[in-house]
Amino acid sequence: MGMMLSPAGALKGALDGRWYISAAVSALAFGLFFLQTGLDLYKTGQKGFFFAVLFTGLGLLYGAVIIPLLGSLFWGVIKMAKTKMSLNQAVSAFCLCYSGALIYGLFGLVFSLALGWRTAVAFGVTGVLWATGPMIHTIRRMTEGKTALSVFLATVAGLTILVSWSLFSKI
Amino acid sequence: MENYQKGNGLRGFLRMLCFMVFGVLAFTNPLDLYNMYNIGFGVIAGLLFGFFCRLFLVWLLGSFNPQVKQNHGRKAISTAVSRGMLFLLPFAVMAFVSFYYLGWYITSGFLSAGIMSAAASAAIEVGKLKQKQEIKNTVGTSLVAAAFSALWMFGTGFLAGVPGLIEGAAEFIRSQAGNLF
Repeated sequence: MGMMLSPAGALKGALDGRWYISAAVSALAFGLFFLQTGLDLYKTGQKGFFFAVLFTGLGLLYGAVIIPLLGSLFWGVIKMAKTKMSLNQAVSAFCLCYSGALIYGLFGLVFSLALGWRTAVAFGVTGVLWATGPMIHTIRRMTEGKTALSVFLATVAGLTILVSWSLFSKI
Repeated sequence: MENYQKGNGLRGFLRMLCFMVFGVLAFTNPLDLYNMYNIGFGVIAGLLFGFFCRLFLVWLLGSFNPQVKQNHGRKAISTAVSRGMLFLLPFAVMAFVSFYYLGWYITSGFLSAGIMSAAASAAIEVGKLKQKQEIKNTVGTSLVAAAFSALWMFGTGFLAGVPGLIEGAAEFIRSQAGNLF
């Protein structure tokens, strides 16, 4: 929530924190997002329930491995822009950008289970989109104000996630 | 201040491009992707929407922070809003790719998230000028963005048939003109 309301303030906290807690945030966020995708496919009869469980595992793995990896790649890029931040700090901050997606994921799951709605796009994709703003602020802070680079990297991150999620859900 | 305003032209161009993309995507028919009437109407609707959205944000932040204008000049608020609106770019790119590559034809969610982020960033930019972030700016701009987001969702639904009507009228005029000459 802090990342959505005040990215800079939340980032300061993240830098003092431990990276694996931030990775757990993104793992849970993507676990819930992928769970809702599995549930949507199950509800429409396209996939079985086992697929939904398997897809949740894939989401957890995605948030715990792919997102920190993407964060490390971005750290490599912003290192060239002379960032003073360590790899751990960058990965922590990058993963924490998805805290808004975690909240969207929780709400989406409630609506999916209680009301039977299909929520993967309405809540899941929206949650991922909401990570873009905090991510731009985060990268901008890391690079001491390089807005163009921040916008570019946030676009790459958003596109990577949307396209890979779309490909995964077609498995 | 001159340094703060540097790049305003490029930012303005990118902002207009983003709103044009959102407009085109909102009015394009997936079964007739290259219909020039839909595209043209989308461009105009997007630009008008963007113009009024920016105008409201500038007005709101200007009325909340009169001392920024006094201390940093007349264009300080509009520059801050322009800088914030640069945040629309990732959302416009993602919406474009989602529409043409992934085949997701409902792209209003991208615009909603985009203008909310842009409005919050505009408030942060004003906070930077004042060297103090204020919750009233963030809440105010978020409310304006939410209202414009709702307006876009209802408005695009309401106006969806207009490009077809324009096309019909144009075809009618063309056929009548053909009969005359």
